[in-house]
Amino acid sequence: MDIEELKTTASLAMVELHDDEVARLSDSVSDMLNYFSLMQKADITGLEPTTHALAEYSTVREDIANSNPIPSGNLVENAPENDGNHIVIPNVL
Amino acid sequence: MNEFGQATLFWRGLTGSVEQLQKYNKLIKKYDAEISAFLEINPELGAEISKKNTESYAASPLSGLPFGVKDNIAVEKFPLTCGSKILDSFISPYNATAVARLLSAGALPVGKVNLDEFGMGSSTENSAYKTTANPWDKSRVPGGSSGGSAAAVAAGLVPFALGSDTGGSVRQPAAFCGTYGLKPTYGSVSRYGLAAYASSLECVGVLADSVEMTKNVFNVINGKDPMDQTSSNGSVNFTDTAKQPYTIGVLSNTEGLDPAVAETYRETSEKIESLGWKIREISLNTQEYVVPAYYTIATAEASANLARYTGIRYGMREKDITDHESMVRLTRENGFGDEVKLRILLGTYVLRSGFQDQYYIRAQKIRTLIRNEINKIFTDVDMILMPVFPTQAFSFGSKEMTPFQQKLADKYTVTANLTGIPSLSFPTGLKNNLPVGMQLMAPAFSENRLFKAAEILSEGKQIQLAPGAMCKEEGE
Repeated sequence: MDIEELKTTASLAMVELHDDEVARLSDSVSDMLNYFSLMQKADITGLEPTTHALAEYSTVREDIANSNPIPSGNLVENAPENDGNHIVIPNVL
Repeated sequence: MNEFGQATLFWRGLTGSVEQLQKYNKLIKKYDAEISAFLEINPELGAEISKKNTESYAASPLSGLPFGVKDNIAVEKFPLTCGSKILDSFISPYNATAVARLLSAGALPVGKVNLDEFGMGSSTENSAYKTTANPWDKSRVPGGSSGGSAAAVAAGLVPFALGSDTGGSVRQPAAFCGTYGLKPTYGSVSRYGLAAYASSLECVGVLADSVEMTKNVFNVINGKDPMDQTSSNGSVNFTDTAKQPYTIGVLSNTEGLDPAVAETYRETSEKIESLGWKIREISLNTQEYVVPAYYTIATAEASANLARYTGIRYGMREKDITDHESMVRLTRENGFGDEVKLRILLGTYVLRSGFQDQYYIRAQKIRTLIRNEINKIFTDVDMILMPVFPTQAFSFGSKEMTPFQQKLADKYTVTANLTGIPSLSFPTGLKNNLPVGMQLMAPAFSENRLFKAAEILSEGKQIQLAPGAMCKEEGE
């Protein structure tokens, strides 16, 4: 993968890469992508994709609201910055 | 009283009173100083959140037993770092279902154990906090990503620990440290409270010092959970139709194994034959595709799952940044380690528009190909015997295996994750003074077949603990 492709991918992944990291990671990413190209040899004609190993056991529950047993205060306390029961972030606009 | 009963008495003697728990805390700290398996040690807190079990010990075999928890599994009031700086200072407000069930059975968590960041690695060297040594040889890795779990059990600090297995992360460290390691059927143990890495592949697993302990823990933690829609309806086969003598599939091609592992594979196969079980040679035509398909799917799922770490709701946040997007980008840049970034980048790339058919969709179709092949093999055999990893525990610092080579070496473990089947890694003794592990795989929900086979192979014995193991030194 060339450097520009890597930077575009990093931007899509919301990771700000330093220049030394770009150099270090581009080789590792390329090694893996080259390795992934092995898959082109496999004959997959007529096969459906498997999204879950044992999909037949997956279920969906009834659409009924359940109460959350965890007090919201405990969740907000884990935020890096909070104000009462609110999470504080920098301005978005 | 048998060996298992004696060990149980020893562990209960460390957890019965406040004084005993304080003593146990000091003992873990003293012995763990040699290997650094733990990120957090607090048996007193574990006892506080454990449900005091009023039933007799006989009715509840795990009552009073201590355990370690991989630090990507939630335990209320304990930290949950996932081995990552990005979750530094995060305290879990709730219990994972597997942990909650163990607490209800009277077991108590004594601490959180080290791992490769978010479960990504094969050596536990990718932890942002510390490296863990293999208790058998401290110049070597314990394996990964559940390296802390395996090291803690092998060093006799706890009789069992929870781990997670996305591509071999329970079985490979179990093999490196000489413990049992169960990767259950996908969905048989709830993933609620396991920090997500690759949701379609990962399972909460068990590392333990005997088959009986592994089985007892699995029996407590398995079953349907409304908090995880992929958990199964507890369909574990308690009445297994496969009867002895079992038919065991053995690979015809094991090219690339280190001599000690190749020799052990042959010896284990001979031992199986000597039990009167039948050996059937099998070849896996899909084997060359399992690792690329696995890493394509795992990284794609990782890129989506780890998108939640933004510095907004929990964990670290880059300070003094006035715009929102820069804060997210810089938090992720400084919070994640190299291996995590590598996998996020790969996953983002294979999901990019224009590349999906070439990578992600193709990998999912290859996953179907692998499932079909494994299902066909299980029409002829009851279990498959495989090596766990091509080498024994390797040295620190990529001297013997680069991170890329470590990924290629997942070729024997990822098949169980891609197909969802259960697999049990078991110790086979020492070669070059280091443990070697083998694994048996069985059809979905046939954990009890694996336990039965492993009980026979181990002759009911507990594992050989590493030299200087705490529970031996302190009088088990």
